[in-house]
Amino acid sequence: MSFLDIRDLTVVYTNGRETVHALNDFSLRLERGKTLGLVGETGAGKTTAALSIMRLLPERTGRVLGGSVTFDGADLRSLKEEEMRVVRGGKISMIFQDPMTSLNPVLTVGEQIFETLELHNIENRSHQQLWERVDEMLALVGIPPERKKDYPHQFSGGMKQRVVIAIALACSPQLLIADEPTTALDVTIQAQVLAMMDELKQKLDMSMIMITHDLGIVAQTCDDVAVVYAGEIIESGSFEDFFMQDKRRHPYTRGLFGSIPNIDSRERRLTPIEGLMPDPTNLPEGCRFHPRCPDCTERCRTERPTAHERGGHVIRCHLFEKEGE
Amino acid sequence: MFKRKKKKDLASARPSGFADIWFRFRKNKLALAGLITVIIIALFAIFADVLADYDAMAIDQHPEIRLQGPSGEHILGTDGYGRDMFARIVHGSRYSLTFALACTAISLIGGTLVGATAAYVGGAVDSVIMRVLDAFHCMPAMLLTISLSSALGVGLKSIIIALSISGIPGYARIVRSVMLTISQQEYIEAAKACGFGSLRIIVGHMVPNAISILIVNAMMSMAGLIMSAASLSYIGMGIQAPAPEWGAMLQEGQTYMREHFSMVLIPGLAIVITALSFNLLGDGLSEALDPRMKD
Repeated sequence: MSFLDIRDLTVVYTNGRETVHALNDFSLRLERGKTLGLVGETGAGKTTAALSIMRLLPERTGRVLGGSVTFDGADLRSLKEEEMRVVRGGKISMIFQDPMTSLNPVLTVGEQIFETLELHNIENRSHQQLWERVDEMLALVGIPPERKKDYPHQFSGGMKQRVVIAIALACSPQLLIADEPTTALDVTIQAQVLAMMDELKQKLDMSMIMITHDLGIVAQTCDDVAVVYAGEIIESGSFEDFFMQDKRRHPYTRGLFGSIPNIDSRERRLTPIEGLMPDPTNLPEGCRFHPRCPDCTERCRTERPTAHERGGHVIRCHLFEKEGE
Repeated sequence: MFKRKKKKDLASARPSGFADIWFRFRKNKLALAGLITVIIIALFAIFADVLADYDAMAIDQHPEIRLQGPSGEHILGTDGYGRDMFARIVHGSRYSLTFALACTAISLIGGTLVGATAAYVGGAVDSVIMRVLDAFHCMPAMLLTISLSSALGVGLKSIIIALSISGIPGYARIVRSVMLTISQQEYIEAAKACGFGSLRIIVGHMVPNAISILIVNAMMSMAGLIMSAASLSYIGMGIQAPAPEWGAMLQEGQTYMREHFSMVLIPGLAIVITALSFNLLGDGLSEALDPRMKD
């Protein structure tokens, strides 16, 4: 069994009037020490997937209908709330999208790192040792430890994200879920933060799920890639499967790559994917992608495709049915 | 290397915590004046017995020295019964401050509990609590006080109860709305993702964010409560003669107002200065307590 194994996870949001199908039979696997890039459009279900792993779906609206989440041999869905709290922050950490708002404005950054350490203090370290660890963490992310007494508003955006990363890594988690960690940052800072995260990942030997809609970031940091569309993984495989060949690809992935400007070609216009992602309250019959698919057949309209695998490269599309046999 | 050094210098140039708050507070001269006045009034109240003997100077009547102007012996003169005005003002500050502090504390604690419960539990409980508070809010504070005084008997206790109750809905509303806003913030979600429990998040993360707003509101309401105490005593519903309450003194002075205007001026000024100082202090604190306010 893989280190993190998500099987057929189905999540809906309900508000009494309509039901949003956020995740539909979502399956994902991640090995120890690897980085998985979770790619998809806005609203595809990337963040919902992350929140379901952490069991932090909005209580009043979000509901898990089925499926399993196994992490390091433990079934996360059946853990008690107290046990789950030990997992959160201790074994699995999460970095949120916007560093500007994910730090508490009235606590100093030092206090915020310290209290996370104190909460997951399994080795019973003394306060002094914990404060030493705070200094260590700040130094690790490239912030002078003297600044631990400052408040978040006294930091720049890039430095705030470093602090957020320091908090997430403070307890040496085994898995880090980074939900678009660099979306709010400008490109130069983005490169710095990504390089730093990659370095820390190697140093601390953890696994990482990198949620992004930027294929450039995926190319830079990930070992494996999974593409999310309308709440399901439509294609997953290794970095090579995605970036080193262009024959065996889901039509949607092909479309995604078609939307990236190529420095070698002299085309004047990019070829975007026609249409919009389906309304998650009213998903199409058959293949979720069929209304936008250039290779759509009659069968795609009625029958939902299953996952077809070849050498670890999984594609959920009728086109690849025969070759798998 | 140079860059590092520069950052370090900047860090040491910026004070944090209490030093930081004091640094911002100090810049507001009016607020500083308010703080100093409040401290002086508080000192008067604490050391009232040292400054003037309560029974001998503030209560016992001396008809032979009635209606005297300021002199070395009686700094602010004497009133219609020959009591020392300074002694009465100083002892009166005890009534005003005790009353305002007690009411603020009761309504602050009550309001925070009720408001936080409404915000945290939500749903039907929230609706019921808020509608009940609405009903309380509809009743004018003065009317409630007057009816409670008639029910429980005139005195300090009944006006404290009445005005505390009428203060609760205001605080509850503030706490509820602040808590609701804060609970939607990403840093609360981040705290959950770090594994903190509900109680810890409310006490350790949400309340500290709300506390500055509460302190400021408490200061502002102190000013209002001092006025309310004086008004109630003025109309005879509050603290009863011969106790030296400022509002009661104002009412007594009315008789002699034409010849001895200082008899209304002095308690009047005491009320205004105290209320104003609390207001200025509250104003200054609201600016100083917000760590997001830059310099």
